Amino acid sequence: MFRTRFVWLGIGFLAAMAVFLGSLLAAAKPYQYHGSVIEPAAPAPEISLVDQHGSPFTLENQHGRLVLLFFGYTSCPDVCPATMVQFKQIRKAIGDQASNVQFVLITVDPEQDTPEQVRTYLKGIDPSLIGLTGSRPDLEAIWNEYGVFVEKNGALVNHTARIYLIDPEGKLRLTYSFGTPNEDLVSDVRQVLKQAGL
Amino acid sequence: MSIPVRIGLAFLIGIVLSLVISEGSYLLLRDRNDRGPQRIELVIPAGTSEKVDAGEITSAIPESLTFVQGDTLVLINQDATSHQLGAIWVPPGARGTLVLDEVSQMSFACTFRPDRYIGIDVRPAVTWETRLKAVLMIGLPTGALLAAYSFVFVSDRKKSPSGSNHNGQG
Repeated sequence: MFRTRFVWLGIGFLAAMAVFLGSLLAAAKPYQYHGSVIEPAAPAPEISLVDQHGSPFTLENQHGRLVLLFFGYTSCPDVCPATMVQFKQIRKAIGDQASNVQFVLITVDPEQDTPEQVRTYLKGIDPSLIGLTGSRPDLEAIWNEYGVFVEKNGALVNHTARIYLIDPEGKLRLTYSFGTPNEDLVSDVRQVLKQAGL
Repeated sequence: MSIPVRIGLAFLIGIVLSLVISEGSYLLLRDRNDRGPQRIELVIPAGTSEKVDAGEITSAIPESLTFVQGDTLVLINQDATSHQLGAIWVPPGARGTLVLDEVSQMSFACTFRPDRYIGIDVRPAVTWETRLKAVLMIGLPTGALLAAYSFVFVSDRKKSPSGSNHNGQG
C-alpha cells in the first residue's frame, strides 16, 4: 500500500517537473517574425511629402509610432486595393493599439494621384489611412531609397508590392511580400509594439 | 511462448527490420537536401549591381537555390544598393532574414541576377520525426503480419502430426 502510494507520488512529481520545464522552454524560445527581418534595423530613409488633406507629412514626425508603409496608386486594379483593405483589417484587429500605428500609402503614379484623388480613394476604404503624394522627382528619390520598382505601362503602373514595417524608433525592421496573411502581420505588429513598450 | 510475448516479439522484429530497411535506404540514397532545417547565408558582394547592369553573371549567385522547409535564409548585402530576393529586401550593408516555412517551387524577382529572376525550391525537411514516421509506417504493419503469421505457423505445426497419417494411405 505504502509502496504504491510512493510510486504514484513519484509519477506525479515527474509530470509536474515535465510541465514546468516545458513551460520554461516555451517561454525561453525567442519570437519568430513572419516577415523578412532586416538586421541591423536600418534607419528608414526620410519621407517628406503631402498627405490627402494637403498637409505636409514627414516620417520624422511619426517617431514613437509604428509605420506600415506601402507603395501603390489609386487606379490600381488589384494589389493596392487588396493591401489597403488589409491595412483596414489590421487596424481593426489590433484594437486599442491602432493609435500607435500609422498606415501609409505612397503613390507610384504622381500625375494621376493628386491629394484630392487620394482623399476620395481612401475615403471609400478607410479615411484614417494616410495617402501621400508629391512631385515625381521627390517620389523617385523615395522609391530609389526603398528599392521600389516603378514602371508606367499605359494607364497601369507595374510596381513593387511590398509592405515595410518601420518601428517607433524610425528604423526599418521588417518587410512583407504581397499576400502575407493578416494574422502574421498583426502578430508582428503587436510584438514590435511590445518591444517598444507600447 | 505466451501470446503477449509472441506478439511483442513479432512487433519488435518488424520494427528492427523496418529500421534497417528504411534507414539503410535513406543513408544510401539521400542527397545533400535530405536534411533538417539549417541557417543558410547568401552573400551579395560589393559591386554586384554594376555587374548585373552590365549583364555579367556574378559567380557567387547560382541560377536556382534549393532549401528545405524551416530553413532560415540570410541575405547579406555587401553592395552599395538595396537588393531583393522574393520576399526579402535588404538595404545596403544590412542582412535580411526569412524563415522558409512553406514547401514551394517558384521563380522570384531577384535584383542580383542578370535575368532578374531566381528559382527557389523549398522541399519538405527530413527530420528525425520524418524518419521515425517512416520506420513506424513500415514496422507496425510488418510486426502485425509477423504476429498473424506466427499464429498460423504455430497452429499448422500443432496439426501436422495427425495430418501425416493421411499421407501414408495413398
